[in-house]
Amino acid sequence: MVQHFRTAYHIKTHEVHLFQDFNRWPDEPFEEMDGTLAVQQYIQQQIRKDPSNIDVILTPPDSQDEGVWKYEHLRQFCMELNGLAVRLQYECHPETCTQMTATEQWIFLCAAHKAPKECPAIDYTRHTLDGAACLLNSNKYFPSRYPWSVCYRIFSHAHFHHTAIFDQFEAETHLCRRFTVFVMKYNLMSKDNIIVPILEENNENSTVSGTNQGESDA
Amino acid sequence: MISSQQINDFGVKLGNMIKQEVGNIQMKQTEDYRMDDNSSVNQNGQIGTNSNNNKSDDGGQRIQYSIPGILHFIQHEWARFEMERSQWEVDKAELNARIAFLQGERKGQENLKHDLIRRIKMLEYALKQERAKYHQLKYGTELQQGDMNPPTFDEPGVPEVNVDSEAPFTSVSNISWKQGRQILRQYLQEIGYTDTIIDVRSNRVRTLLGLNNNNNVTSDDQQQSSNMNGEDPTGKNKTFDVQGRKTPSKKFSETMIMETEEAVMANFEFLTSQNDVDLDEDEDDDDDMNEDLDDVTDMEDMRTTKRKPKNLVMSDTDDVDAEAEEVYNELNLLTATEDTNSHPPAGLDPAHWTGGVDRKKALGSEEEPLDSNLGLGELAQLTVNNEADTSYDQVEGTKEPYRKTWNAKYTLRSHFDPVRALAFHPAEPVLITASDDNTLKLWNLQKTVAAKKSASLDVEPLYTFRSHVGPVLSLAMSATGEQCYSGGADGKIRCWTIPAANIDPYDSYDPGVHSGCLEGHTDAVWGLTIHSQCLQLLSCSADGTVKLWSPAAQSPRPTLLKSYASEQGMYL
Repeated sequence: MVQHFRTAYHIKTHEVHLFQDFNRWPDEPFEEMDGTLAVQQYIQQQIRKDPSNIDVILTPPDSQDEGVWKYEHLRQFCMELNGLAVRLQYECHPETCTQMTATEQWIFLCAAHKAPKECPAIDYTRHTLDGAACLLNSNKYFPSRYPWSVCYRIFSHAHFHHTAIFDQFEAETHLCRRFTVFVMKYNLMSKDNIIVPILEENNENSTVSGTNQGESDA
Repeated sequence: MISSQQINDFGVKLGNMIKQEVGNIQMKQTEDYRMDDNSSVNQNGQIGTNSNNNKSDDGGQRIQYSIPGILHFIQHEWARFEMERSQWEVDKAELNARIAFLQGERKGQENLKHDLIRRIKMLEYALKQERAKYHQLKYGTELQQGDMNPPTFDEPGVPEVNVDSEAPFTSVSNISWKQGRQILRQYLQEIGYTDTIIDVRSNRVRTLLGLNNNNNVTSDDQQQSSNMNGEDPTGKNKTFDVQGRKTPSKKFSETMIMETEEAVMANFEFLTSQNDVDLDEDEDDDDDMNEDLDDVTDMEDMRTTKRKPKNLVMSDTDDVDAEAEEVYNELNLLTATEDTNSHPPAGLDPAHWTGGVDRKKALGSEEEPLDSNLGLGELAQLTVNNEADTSYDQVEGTKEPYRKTWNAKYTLRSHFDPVRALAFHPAEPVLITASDDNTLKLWNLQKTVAAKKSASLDVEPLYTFRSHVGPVLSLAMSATGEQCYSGGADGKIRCWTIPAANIDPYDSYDPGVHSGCLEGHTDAVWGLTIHSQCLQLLSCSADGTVKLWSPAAQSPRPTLLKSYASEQGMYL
């Protein structure tokens, strides 16, 4: 069974530039990939080539089942969001971020508990990712619409409260942009909920993030 | 002193008195008695002349009971008592004979029991051998059976085996059968083992085996053999037995003995005259006999059983009488059993343990391979059934090494990418997995998160260790199960304090779980080993070094963890 190391390593902090060579295999055509992990392998290969080339990453191969495609991308998002969570752990403490908020307007309750709970942002992040990991790896409930907007809240919190981390992370992975394009492309989220001004830079002014934020929340 | 005249007078008187007495005393008298009476009267008359002369003169006529009459009565009574005494003695002898017979019978049955047990053991052993052979033929490998030793018989002091050490039975098969017959007869005498008992024994064997056919013949033969035994001077018990049975009403032991002798003689003549004619009958009998014995000893060989007696008779009739045939069979039995006792069976061939040497010759060796296949009958089925059981392990071991013998008990789904390493807790059913998705996960195999609707049958992770930036490649857990260390592709070794096994999966974040980071490697850490006692950590990395760490000193936060590294600069 041909099983390549499929993980793309695009996280390059200023400290560690170690795994440029990690998983640096020659590209393999999607047609030659086999097994159940072919789609994941293909997505990771595209990301590894150029994480910023979102259009390429999000373009499914021919005759690719859309459900599987979305599912595999969601898995990839959740996996890479772990990287954001790792960074948030250094800065996003329960004392400073007592609630999961992006803007002041909304407080998100953590749905991982039996009774939804007002978890600190870092816990919310972790719980969401843990729950998503279980859900996405479950062979019973798949695919589900549930994780999209919830996962997106991690981006929004990071963007509005830990901007430096978010920016650095986004510069490396372009994950939030990819995510946004993805959900909009497949109409997985209401446009009103997309509050991180990441696509506006192309479409509108690059300085409207503050006002835009209020608008989208409203 | 006493003149002849006086004597004559006394004799006349005595004659008269006797006549009177005959009239006075009423008795049943046989002629035999009268003879005795006359003689005894003469004796008493002489005694009377010595002691009772005067009295008989004086009171002879007056008293109704005269002295001679009394004397006569006493004599008669004495004779009667004598007769009764002899009768009692005869009875006593009869009873003694009976006791001896019963004791002999009991002994015979005990011997029979031991023999049967021995044969059962032999059969079991032979069955095992057959199984082994069959298995070897079928699978070409040795069958591993529990007990492949030839059966050992614990003899409870049975005289059969302890008999005369100077004539060991192990060598009997090598002696000619005549000698064997002698020895057998000797030993039968020693234990009071009459032919009747042999018959009882063979009958018992028959009934045990459910072979009740030819019962009439058997009883006839019994009678015959008991008669034949009569000629045997050593068969005293038997003689008494015959006498007791046939002449219970005879009064006199002399006549009884005479008559017995006559009967014995008559039987003897009858036998000698009939010997030739008997042979046919005896052949039948031997057929039965052989069937008994063979059924007991070699059940697997029905075909040769049919043939065997013929062979035996044909080869032996020349110099063997019918009785010897029986004894010979018995002897064969003994030698057969003794053979198996003494020799650990060299081969697997059934003829070796079933029959003596003679029998093997008679059979011919070319029949042996067929034997085991043909005659087993129900036993064969038994073997097949057992074969399935016994060969199970074997088959599992050799034939189907790739047969799936496991079932998935848990599925640990939660990683997004390949799992690189896992480490088990030393005591609890807890393990940690490390994955390419940059995380490690803690699992408790006893605590499946049932409440979670998404994975009812799966184990869900209790905790996700997030700190690595990049794949986690190696993992080591301390001997206490409290710490674990993970090496990543980022060249860092993360130190973790393992949360309790009953932690809430959605508990709030505890930064203390990530208890340190060992920085020093400049490339992926591919291997980690922990020292079980002094808590030192050895890591090997793609940067070409192996480093020894002492992660025990833990500073509050991992960024500036002080660690001891002994860089050896080893190149991989």
